Amino acid sequence: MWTPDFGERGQRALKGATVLVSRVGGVGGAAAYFLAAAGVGRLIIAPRGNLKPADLNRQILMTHGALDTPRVECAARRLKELNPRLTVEAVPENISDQNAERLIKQADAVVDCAPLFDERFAMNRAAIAWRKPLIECAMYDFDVRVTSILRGHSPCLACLYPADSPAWKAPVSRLRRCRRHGRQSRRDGSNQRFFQASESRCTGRMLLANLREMSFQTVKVSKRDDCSVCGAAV
Amino acid sequence: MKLTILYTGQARTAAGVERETVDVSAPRSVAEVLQILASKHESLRAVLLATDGKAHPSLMVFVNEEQTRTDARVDWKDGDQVMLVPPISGG
Repeated sequence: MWTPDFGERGQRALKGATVLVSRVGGVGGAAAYFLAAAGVGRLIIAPRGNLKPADLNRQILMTHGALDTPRVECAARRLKELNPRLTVEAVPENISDQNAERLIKQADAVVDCAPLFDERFAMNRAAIAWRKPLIECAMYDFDVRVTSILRGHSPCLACLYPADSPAWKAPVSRLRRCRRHGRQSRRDGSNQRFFQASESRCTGRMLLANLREMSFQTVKVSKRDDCSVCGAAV
Repeated sequence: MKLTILYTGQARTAAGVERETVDVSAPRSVAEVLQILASKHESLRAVLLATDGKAHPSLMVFVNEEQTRTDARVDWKDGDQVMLVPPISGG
């Protein structure tokens, strides 16, 4: 992608990068699909359960023929059809405290598209602990929210949302060289540094979009000094 | 004094409107504005307020696009915009 600030260096970094996407429904499926198209080297996708008819109206990685089969298998197949050079690690689990650390340790960046806050908070804790960039994406009706979380540079998810609420339960609704670069950059951490540098425009800010009105704005969001997750983190 | 309230996410669903102008008599804090709104729209109460009746800690409030603590005392002016941003997690 010959765009300013990306170019060949960015393409190589992306090829060498591992990104964890949880989950791969309406939001996460689109994120994973575009990452695959853009040339990411390795995707870890983590959705549990079988595909249901109600998933199909928005989940672009899912197909009618895969109904009643594991979502993760359908998603992995579609991603590989788009980009056969992509490595997909298909994990048939949702993120939880039991697997968050193991999966996030392997990733250079994490895209959080989970529908439940328990999953989101588990990813947040592990991403803060392991200093991984966490891209928080959420939708409700036609509302979109995106923010990037990076330890020491932004509020974390628990800063933004420190307490549970019943209201949250409302309905939601040049390849060889690149491969070599990928292996090298996985060893020296340069991919993670690239992601950290690339996401600075969204770090500490939240994009709020209302697609019903086609209104977009970004607002600065604040860290809590008494945050139980990142309060003492530097 | 007239404030423009901008509802997002579940707050918009509960209020049934995208935005509205609320005529209030000099509230001192964001929390007091939330109490007024919860009284006006009963369905908003669970979105804006915790079970103890205080402002919900996970509700983000932006006054004229600046994130503002709910216990903050604000020198309100006519036409100030208050945007209410409850947590959403749809994926």
